[in-house]
Amino acid sequence: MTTAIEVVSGITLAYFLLVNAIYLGFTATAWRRLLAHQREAKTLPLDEVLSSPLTPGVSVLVPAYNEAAGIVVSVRSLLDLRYPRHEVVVVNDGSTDDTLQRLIDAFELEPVRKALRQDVACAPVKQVYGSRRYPNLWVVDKENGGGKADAINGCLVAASHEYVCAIDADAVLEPDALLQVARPILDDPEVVVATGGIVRVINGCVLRDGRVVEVGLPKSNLAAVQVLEYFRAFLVGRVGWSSVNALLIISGAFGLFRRSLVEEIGGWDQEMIGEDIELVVRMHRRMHELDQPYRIEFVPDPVCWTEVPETLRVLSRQRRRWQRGLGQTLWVHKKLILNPRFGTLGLVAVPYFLFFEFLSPIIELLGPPFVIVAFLLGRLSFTFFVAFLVVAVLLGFLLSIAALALEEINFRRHQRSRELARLVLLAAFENVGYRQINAFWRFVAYFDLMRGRSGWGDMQKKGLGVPSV
Amino acid sequence: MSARCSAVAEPMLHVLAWVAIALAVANVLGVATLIYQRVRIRRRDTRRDELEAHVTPLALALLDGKEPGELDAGAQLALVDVLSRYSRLVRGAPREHIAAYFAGSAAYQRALHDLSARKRWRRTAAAFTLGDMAVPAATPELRRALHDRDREVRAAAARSLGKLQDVDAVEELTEALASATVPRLVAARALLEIGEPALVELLALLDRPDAAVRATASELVGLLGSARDAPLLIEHLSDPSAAVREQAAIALGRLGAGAATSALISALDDRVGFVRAAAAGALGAIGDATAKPVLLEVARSDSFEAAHAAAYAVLALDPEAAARSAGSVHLDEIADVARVRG
Amino acid sequence: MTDEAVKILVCDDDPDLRALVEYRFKTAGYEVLGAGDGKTAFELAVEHRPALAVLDLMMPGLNGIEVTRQLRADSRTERIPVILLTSRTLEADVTSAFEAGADDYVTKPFSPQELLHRVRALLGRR
Repeated sequence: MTTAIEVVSGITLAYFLLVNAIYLGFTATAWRRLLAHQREAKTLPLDEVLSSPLTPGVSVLVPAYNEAAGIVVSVRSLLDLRYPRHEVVVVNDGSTDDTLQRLIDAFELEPVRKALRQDVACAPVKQVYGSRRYPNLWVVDKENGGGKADAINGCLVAASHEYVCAIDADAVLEPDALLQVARPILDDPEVVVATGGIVRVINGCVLRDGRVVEVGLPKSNLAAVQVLEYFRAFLVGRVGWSSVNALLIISGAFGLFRRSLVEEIGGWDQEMIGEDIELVVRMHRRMHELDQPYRIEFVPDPVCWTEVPETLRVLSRQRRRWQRGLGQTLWVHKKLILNPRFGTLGLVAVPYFLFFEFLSPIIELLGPPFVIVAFLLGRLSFTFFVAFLVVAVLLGFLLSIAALALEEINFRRHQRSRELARLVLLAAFENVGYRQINAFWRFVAYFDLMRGRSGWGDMQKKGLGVPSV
Repeated sequence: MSARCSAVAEPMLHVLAWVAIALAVANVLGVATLIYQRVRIRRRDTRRDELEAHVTPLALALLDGKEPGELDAGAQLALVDVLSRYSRLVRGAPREHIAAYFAGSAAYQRALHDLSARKRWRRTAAAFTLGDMAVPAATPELRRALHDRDREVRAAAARSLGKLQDVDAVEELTEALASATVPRLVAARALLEIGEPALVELLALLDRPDAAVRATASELVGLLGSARDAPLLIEHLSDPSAAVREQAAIALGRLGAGAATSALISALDDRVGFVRAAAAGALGAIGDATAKPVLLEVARSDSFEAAHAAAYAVLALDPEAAARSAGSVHLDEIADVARVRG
Repeated sequence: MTDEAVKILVCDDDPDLRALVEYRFKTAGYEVLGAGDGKTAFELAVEHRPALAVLDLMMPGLNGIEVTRQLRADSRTERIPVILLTSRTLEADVTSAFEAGADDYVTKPFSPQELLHRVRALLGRR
């Protein structure tokens, strides 16, 4: 009996130690990388790229389902992105509201028999629309195929540029976002096949004409703690993975891909809940199979703003869905796990996501209460208990503060000191409370998976696959 | 465990207690750093804004040739910043005045010196800023920096050589482009800024064994050259590499070389789809109506990319007739596009 | 007619460029109305009826071409000559600029003196 307690406690301690150590490593990497990036940014001649006739074109893909409220503003701001050659391809994915009509009215759309590619599957297209005034806008009206993947594929078949940028219909991109996220590709077009940008929380920000003009923290603490979570996930996590070319997650809200590669691997997978993660994993896999040098990079400046859940109910659905998506992707690509043929991806990244992301709820949820109870029952030494507290709480808190420091030093989006103070306090809540709630929902997701449940709990937000550590 | 390891538990506990204290302290320090950084940066930004407001009128006057007079170190740095930004926006006499100012300044000397600094970011910043300082005498040093061991430094040097329109750098820039030692867009842009003097070197590159080199050279010839450069490009429509054939076709379209029409029509039979597409696009750009029948055929029967390009070429050649065309999905598309665009 | 109090509208989201152009125009004796975005530019045009407008092409929100269209579509501002200032050099951009109703097109990097000449030329014609 004692041995069982020891084993479980030991595993719990080891888990927290490992996970925090890894994040410590990532934080150190991110620190260096971001500093270097900041310096680079001063020598980034964005305007000069803007005027170059050699800058490759980008098709911005916008899958829209029941987005009548904000679609016109969103599309307008996408058309105004600062980029030399781009088009916007919107898919009206069988909306039941007047999304399509609003687009038709706002952009003077007329039916056009546009030729569509056949190499990627999607639900039947009813009609394509073009605009006289906005020749680089296309709207594809199609039947709902049951998910975002099908919708984006619908955009893909109508896209004509060399690169495609998949975004969420309600995400807000900053004017230079496309230029910035394309930069690694512009620097090295033969090698870089995909890039992703940072996603920030729009709740609490002030918008005007579809652009964020003032950054603020959301009133709801639940949403505010997600701001902190996203800092850690993006500034630390993704910068880290990107630096070893094992970036598994490019947010579905904002990712840039080489179109030919996406088409070659069949586009987004309709069966997948986490279609954004799965596409990137499949891209990695294909490039490894082709044995060609390649990179998938994360760019920390270009910003995509997106809304996060403010209630426990919606947040729980979102996190359960992400966990299901992650599990499904890992299952489908289980061949990669600990497979040396896939280098860092197979030996480090995928196993990490399996053990420290997907399977973590088991330990995160059961471990700490177990340790506490065992200690209270006198079964566990004080030493051990202190060690556990140190590693799980203090170290975790330090990592949150470090992520906040990274944000503050490099980007300083949150101008008000009051907000910074609030974020520091929330760091405590994030480690004790928020993390455990998340672990609970992700645990519940195991049962969802076992019951074979898939599909869309809440449609609008799509899986960012944000690590919950 | 508790009983067995009590001998180790005591010292371990001490160690842990210290670690815990250290972490707690680290946390407090972290928060303190946050506050400190916030205050420091804010103060720095305010100071910088003040300085800039002060030197901006001087900078503007300098563009007209008026010397700013004595400035303290802080103001000088601000002036350098502002002038660098202005330098990117202007050409002609104002840029010459900027160059004249910088040539005698300490900032310029420092930048030259920093080209051999140990830290990469310093060399990069120096290489970059020399382009903004517009001093022509910096070009030999910048050319040397094209061979720096770090890609970023080379990129910054290439960009600055373009800004300085250094004709003597053309050969090295095209070499850098060819061997991909400098990011493609940066090197290409620098060559474009240098303009026609780069053309001779680029034409010579069309004979290189490396296909990627020939392809990029073709692309740039299309952007810099004129119709008289067409014959060499026409030759490369039969290059062994598909990428080169594609770029040669695109370039011919850009040059508007009417003499290339028959060669491009032959290229519509190329065995590679994107080459056929490029040939079609070029025919549309050149505007020779004799290509229309062949293009219609391609638009009816070829693979997606080629047929699509051919259809749009027909649209470019004859918008009115395009509005009535039919026979394939692509021709349907251009018929509707012609109608919608009016 | 003297250059005094002739108003020119300058719109660009880059404050440096605005400063440059404003300086050039002011020293030449013009009065300058500055705007950082297209919407403000149009509002200023309606309110003050400048003699000419210099607009940047690529601005977030209402871009230069959109503003030109709006100016041409409104009877109060339709006669204001427009010079578009931009780093974009593609032929398609030039064409769409003139199609929208612009009178001239200047690429960046530009010569402020040359811009002034073009302004004078357009104003002289009216």
